Amino acid sequence: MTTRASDRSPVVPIPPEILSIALSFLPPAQLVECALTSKAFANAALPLLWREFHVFRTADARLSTVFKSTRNETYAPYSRYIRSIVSGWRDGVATMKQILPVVGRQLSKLDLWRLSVGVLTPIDMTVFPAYLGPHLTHLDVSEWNGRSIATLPTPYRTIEDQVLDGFCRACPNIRALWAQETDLSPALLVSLSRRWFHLNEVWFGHPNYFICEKVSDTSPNRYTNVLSSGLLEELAASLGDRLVELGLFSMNPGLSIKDPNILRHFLMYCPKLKRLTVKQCDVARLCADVSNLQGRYGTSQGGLPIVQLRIKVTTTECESLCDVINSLVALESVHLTIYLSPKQKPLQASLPIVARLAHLLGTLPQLRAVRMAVELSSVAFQRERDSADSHHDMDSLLETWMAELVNGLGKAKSLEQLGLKLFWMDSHSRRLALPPKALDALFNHSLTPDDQPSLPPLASRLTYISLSAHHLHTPDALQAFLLKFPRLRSALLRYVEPSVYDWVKDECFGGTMMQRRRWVGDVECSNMFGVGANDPGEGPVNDLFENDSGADWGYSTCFVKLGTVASIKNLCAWPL
Amino acid sequence: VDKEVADRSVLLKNMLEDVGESDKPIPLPNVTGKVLKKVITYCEHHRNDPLPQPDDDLDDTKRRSDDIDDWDADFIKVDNDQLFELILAANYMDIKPLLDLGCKTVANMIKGKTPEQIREMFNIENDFTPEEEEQIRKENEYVSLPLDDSMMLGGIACLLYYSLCIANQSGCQHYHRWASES
Repeated sequence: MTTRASDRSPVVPIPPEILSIALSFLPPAQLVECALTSKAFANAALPLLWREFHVFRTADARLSTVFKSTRNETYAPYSRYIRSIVSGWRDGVATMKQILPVVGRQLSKLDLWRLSVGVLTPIDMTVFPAYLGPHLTHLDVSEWNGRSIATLPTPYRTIEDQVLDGFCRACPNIRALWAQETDLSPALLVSLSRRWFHLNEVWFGHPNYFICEKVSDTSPNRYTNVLSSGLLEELAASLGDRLVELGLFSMNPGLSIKDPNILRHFLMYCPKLKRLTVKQCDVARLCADVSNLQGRYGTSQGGLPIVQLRIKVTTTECESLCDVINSLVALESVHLTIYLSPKQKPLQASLPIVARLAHLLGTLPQLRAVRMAVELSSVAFQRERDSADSHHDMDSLLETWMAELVNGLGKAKSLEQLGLKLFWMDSHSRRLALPPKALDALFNHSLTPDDQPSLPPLASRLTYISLSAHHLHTPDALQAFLLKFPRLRSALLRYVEPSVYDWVKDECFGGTMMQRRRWVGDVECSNMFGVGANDPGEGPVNDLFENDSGADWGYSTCFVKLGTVASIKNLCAWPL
Repeated sequence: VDKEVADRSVLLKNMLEDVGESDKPIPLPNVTGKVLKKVITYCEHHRNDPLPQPDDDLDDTKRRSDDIDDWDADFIKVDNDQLFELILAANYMDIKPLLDLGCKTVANMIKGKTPEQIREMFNIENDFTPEEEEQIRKENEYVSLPLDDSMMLGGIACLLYYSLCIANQSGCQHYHRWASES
């Protein structure tokens, strides 16, 4: 009988996180050699080689100190090599004018794969070729918080073709362009999409909601309908046949995509579209579009090949949303934000809606991840809460709400990631914590007779959970809760006490913990998007939600990444 | 074993704190007797060392593998199997200096070796296709460049950038004037 080399290897039984520690003592060139040894070694070595740089406090004149402070990033903290720069979406805008000199001084080498800058000026585009290369695949020029400096429109209109050509030639392999709330003109977007033949992911927001508090020259009216359906169609025509991801939305309440044809114009050019994000769109129209397009781009299962849908809807649009979901049978990941607008008892009124949606999602055979955020009408909800005879009534209501949800979703046999958020808006986004008995639904729900008898309770299938619960505020309570999820790999929990942070940090074997505060604090950077200690062959932890966590900022959030399954076993061995 | 020695292990230290004064043995199911004996030897020798600080990891000047003292070097001279068992035990018992010592030893074994030599040393199967291997090589070729080259490149780019900024200053002023008028 022959023995495979890997069976005899003394290194293979070493958990990947320990191999990473060993390799972290090696110089970069040797790490490359290690990466060429085997896949296990490559998984351990490559993340150590390249860093991701975050520049957040761009208003800080001492930018160099910001770079030094990024030591608390856990993503390849020892590396002198930068593959990704993320910048300029908090306190105004960081331009490459600010960043590059510091980068040049502080860092040894730059081989960018991903670049995220708030503003991309024509000068930047001229300078970039010295820094960019064939490895740059993601370019993010989104701007999130409104502009604090006067810059762009005119230069972009006069941008010269040779500058554009040089820029595009310098980074010919761009696959993703993120341009939300951006100053890039649609015409430029079209030009770029024609030059970048590999572009298959585009994100841009509706220009109507530019927030122009400090810039006098950018009144929103000037941008109205800049992204007309005609230009969008042109853009879609130039890249739609290779587009796999599209984000098209407005985040600003009160403004919506006014032209109902926009989505249809886009979708009809996008037969390969797999991930779609829309907010405040005309859901009924989307439903009609999806239905119309089924015949044209139908999969073998009879629906569009979209696997990931993120959408924000109101109560009245939920019916249409159900129709949309019905049409997307290949869905693997759903991120729903539902705004419940009933003037009376919104939580109670949400029960049938939630039950219907959960039941519908439970029928999707490939559904792996659900994230549901329910926004309650603030005044109505507070009235509902105040009118409840006791906390017990409100708790009972939440228990019923949760039971409905779990009964529906529990039937989705592939479901392994679940995020729940109930919140209402006043001056802040306030979350509603779930009472202990409501969470019991996760562990105890019984399947109805027509269900598959072999399907275990939802809790025993989940690898990721995100929720708010006051009662998990002690290490013991949190630990007891986590242990009820035998497959859990990561959890995002809110309303936990600081003592729990310490416990997770000190005691949670092989795990990592991250505490996040509101944006005003100094806490930043995390390993949430970094490379965690994964089991071989199981893919990245938290993969489907890796970019969603930004929506979960809160002053008392605890993110627990539990390392490997072996770590969970160690955790189980820990005396309660 | 003295409490001072046991306290080198964070796992044992916490367990002892939880259990309190007791004569009952503490089970360590993941560590064999032979390896445990070796671990105790290490802890006894280092019983007076300062405890590692969390920030130590962030100091990249300490990420070197050539700073092993003579006693440790002699202690860690074991065969591969025992070395990895020691590493696993150090990880399980949460003895960071011992874990680092084991990992540094592994790093030293790897240092200067080609992928083929590493595979041979650790009996690892090459599970890459030629295309995958080439892809990794290509994606990381930048690392193999001498540092001076890339720094010079960055410096030139910065100079060019500043020049362009200065050259464009009049244009920017013109733009700002236009912006405020409109």
